[in-house]
Amino acid sequence: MRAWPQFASLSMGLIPVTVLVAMVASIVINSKDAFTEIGVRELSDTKFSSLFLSGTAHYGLAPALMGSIELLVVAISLALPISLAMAIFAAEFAPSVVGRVMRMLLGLMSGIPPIIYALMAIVFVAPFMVPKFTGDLSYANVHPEKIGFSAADWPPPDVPWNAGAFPWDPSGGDNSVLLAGILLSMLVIPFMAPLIEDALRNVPSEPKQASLALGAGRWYTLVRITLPYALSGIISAVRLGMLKVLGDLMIALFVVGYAAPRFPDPPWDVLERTAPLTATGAGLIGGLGTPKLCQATDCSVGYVPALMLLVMAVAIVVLTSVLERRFRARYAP
Amino acid sequence: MSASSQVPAAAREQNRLSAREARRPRDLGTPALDRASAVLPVMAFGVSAVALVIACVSLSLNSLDPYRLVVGGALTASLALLVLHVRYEDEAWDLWAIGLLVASAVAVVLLARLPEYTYGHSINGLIHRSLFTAIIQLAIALPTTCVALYYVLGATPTARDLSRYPFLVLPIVLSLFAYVVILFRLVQKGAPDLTWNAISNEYSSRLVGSAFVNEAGMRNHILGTFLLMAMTALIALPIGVGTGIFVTEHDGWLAKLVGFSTSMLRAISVFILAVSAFSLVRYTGDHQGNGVLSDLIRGFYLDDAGFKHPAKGSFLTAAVFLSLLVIPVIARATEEGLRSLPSDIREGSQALGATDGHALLRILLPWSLPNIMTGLLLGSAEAAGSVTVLLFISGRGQYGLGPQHEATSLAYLIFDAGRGAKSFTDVMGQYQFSAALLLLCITFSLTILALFLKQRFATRYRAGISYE
Repeated sequence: MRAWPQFASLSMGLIPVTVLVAMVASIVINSKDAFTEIGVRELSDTKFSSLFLSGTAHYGLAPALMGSIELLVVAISLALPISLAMAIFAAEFAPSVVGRVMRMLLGLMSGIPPIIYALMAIVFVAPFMVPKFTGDLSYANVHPEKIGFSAADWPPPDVPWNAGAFPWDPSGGDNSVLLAGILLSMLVIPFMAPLIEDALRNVPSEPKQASLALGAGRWYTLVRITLPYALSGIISAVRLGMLKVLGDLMIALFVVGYAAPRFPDPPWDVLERTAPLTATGAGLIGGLGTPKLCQATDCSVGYVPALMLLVMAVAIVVLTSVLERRFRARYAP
Repeated sequence: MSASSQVPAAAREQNRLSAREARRPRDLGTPALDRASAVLPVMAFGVSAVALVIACVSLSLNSLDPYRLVVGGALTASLALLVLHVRYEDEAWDLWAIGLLVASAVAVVLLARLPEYTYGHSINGLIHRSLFTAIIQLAIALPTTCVALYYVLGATPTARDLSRYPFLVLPIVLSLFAYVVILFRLVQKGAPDLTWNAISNEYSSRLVGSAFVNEAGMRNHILGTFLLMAMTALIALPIGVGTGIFVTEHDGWLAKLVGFSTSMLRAISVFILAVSAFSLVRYTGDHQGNGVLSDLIRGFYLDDAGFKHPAKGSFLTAAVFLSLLVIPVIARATEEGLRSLPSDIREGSQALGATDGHALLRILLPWSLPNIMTGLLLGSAEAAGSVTVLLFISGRGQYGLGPQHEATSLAYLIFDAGRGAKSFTDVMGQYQFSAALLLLCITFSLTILALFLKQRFATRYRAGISYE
């Protein structure tokens, strides 16, 4: 009985492997119908409507993919500078007490569940932000003639931001990718900043002290010595943030909505209501909480976004791992 | 003849030179600014700092339309900086200052021509010009403030480091402000509804459409959250710890595979867990009928006549899929704990003849216990807050608690009371914010407990040795 710890830990360790294989298999098997009955050609189309939402079925998933990519770009380009500033401040510039307090605060904030951001997004942040930017509030395009303006005098010259004065109600449920990206960046900052801080703290002190002894300032040392050395750690933090943004459902669902009806035009238009893959999949499978609504085709198409997310997650992990290894070899031998 | 003309010309030249030297703190190494040359940097700093503050304010206010003032301020500050550079840096035309000046001139022209709302070629959304103003202003006033601060502090190498603080502090303050505002609003909206009735009563579908809507409460949702957390912890703890031990203590392809799949379990979207849970429940419903397996996976409830009906998904299923979320966290924490074990302790136990099992129970586990507890508590907090996993399989919490009943939790209540069916929203919509506040209390207290226990356990099981 000398080896019972090996058996116990092996049998426990095999559970995640089995479960992962089973989940991938179930997604592949369930999405098989979509590929055989509907075909890759329609699935890669740029027009989307489902039986569940609008009665006619046309399952083009390219808009949802674009929505996911837009969301990734917006959220990470906001979260990375802020968490970088937090990490640099806590690790290099702040007194150790301030650094410790910041770290505790970040640990506390990383416990805020996404659903709370989503809730606050629709009841507080959207009415607050909508006077700043107003995303697409309807399924169709907003045209000025549809809301009582001639195209010539649009936008109206001076609309005061009083309640009800704006042509449409700004507190509507559906909003733009930009707002969802801002909230998602708030979600991932508490996860990214401590990781970057760890990476900065793990830089050995010899090169830093050599640089300082040669007369370089702290900022110069940071930019030329510490940041390149910590680059691989920063990339692993970005990977975590990207995976969290990609996999998030609640904020996208509450802010952007269930489906991306058409491809954004132009493709980088973050003010449009382009729901990401997660929200589209949830809408198809029955995100309203009533599985009875899940029609046979809708349901099998709902597994295709899950498959795409799986592929994207693997791609992100592989790519960032390669980058991480390369940067570590170059800057931190 | 005045007194000054009696001074020899050479001495006067000497005086002029030393006065010029004195104005150049770089050469002297100490900040010895006379009053006249201190005015300009302080003015530039003041103007650009005010511009920065206005930019931050215009990020949050809409009625204020400060762009003329703000851009004028940026232009003034950049001009002042340009003059400063020319005076201090041996009449050199510094690229930074010229760049700032050109940028603010361009910004003035751009913002003066900007309409109140901007939109793309098809109107999918409008952007108010205060947002553009604030962003452009941040981009100009932040470097201007830094450069001006550099001169205010005496243009020394130390001042160069200190002048970078606005770059770091401003994003931190702005983002922390956003968190504080959101949490404050949540407390403000949720606290008044958090009465004893709201906590102790339970939701029942009989209340739909009746006059006794205020008799509904969140008891089942609160207890369901705790039940889910407890079951998740029970399932995830052995698996997570075992996985962590296996990955650290063994090498070879199998350990690598286990480590990789554990990290992939974390990396794949939570949405994939939700979809898998849903397909399991659907498969059981299609193929298992009303057997024991169906009762366990789908859950069931008894109606008034005592007949058994299948539910959407049981607490057991929910806990199993939530534990998949927690297992990687615990495994990673266990790995970290084991890797920090000093080799002399392990070798000492081997030298004294400890078996593998004895070493595991007496050395490895106690040593990594602080990490495991932290991972478990943080994972439970995440499980309590995760609604995505439960999205397709949980119900409204009217059928009671127990592993075989329909799953529900506070997080799902928040979702369902906002986006769910109207009959539920009418009754429970009033408690959306109270539920969010309660959920936040639970996750925050778990996080604080994790931080506290980590220190306590470290002193107890590691003799106070800290390996942070």
